[in-house]
Amino acid sequence: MIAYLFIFLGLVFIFFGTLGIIRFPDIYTRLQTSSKCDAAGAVALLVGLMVREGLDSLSLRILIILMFLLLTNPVASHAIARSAAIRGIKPWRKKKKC
Amino acid sequence: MTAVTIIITVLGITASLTLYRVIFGPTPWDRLTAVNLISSKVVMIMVAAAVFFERRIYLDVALVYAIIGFVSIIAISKFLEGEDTDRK
Amino acid sequence: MYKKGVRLVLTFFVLMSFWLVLSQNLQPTSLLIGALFSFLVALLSFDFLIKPDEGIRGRAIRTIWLLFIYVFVLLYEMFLAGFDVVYRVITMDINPEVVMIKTDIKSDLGIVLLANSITLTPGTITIDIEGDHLYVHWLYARTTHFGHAAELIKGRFEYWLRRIFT
Repeated sequence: MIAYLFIFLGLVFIFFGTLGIIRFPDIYTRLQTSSKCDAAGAVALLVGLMVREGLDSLSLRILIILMFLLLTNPVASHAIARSAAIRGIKPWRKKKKC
Repeated sequence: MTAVTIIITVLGITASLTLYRVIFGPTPWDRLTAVNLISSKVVMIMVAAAVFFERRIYLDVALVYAIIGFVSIIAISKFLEGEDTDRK
Repeated sequence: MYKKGVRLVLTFFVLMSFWLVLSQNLQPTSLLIGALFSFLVALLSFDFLIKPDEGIRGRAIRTIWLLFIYVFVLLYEMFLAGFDVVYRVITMDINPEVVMIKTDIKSDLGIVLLANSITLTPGTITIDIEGDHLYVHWLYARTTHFGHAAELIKGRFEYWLRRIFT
């Protein structure tokens, strides 16, 4: 039961992350939802699958995949954000009400 | 409707929604971000399939897919950065 | 400062444990092939995995224990971040700014961990690093003041990382 709770939480995170990548206005804000919702969703989903499987060799391998995703997701975000910043993409700003 | 059907359907629908950003993204970095998301969703689908269908070979495929996706994202973003940068 | 042999043996054990988890059989042939290739790869790459001046000598147990606690702090913050971003996506209530913050951590590994943790927590991603200055994009900027922003962004992580890497 607790496994399905985790899996449901992960699916909710992933769904709203996708919604964010469609609705947000520029590249940096899209990277925000991409890095955070995706990492939190992946952790919740894979932990749910590990709990459902129980402690054996399969869940040990899932743990390796989870660690790999958790290490590489921020690094990919830095690489994309840094190359966009070097090529001079300006961040979107909220219009001031005057 | 079993659990695995629901999981794979939701992940597939979100991956197809992300495809909108790949096709209509205004800058190349938007497309790169969307491709990164799709690749991590494919990894999650493979892990779910491996757990629910008891096929543990899918896990090795998922690990290799994650590694290749990460390396290609880094390579493409370094390429988009260009040569004529004034720092470093 | 570590000697070369110690770094080589440590790299070999890391690679060999990965081989055991991924191959999952204990026959002599498999073990022999794994040991041979782990040794070859360790000979080529031990210099990249463990830098000579980043030792944790004499405090290995304490460092591993603190890293274990740090992972749980990070996971807790990550789930809070997920809920925060879901709220921002639904209401579109955003106010993005780029702020620059300064860190006190000296070691390279510590700065990389700090940047990754900043990326995984609510509404902030690290864009660029120059020396010990980090450029951070903030999804909902409450302040643009130099010191105040730094305290809000990195507060808890820098406390733990300073305990680990000093």
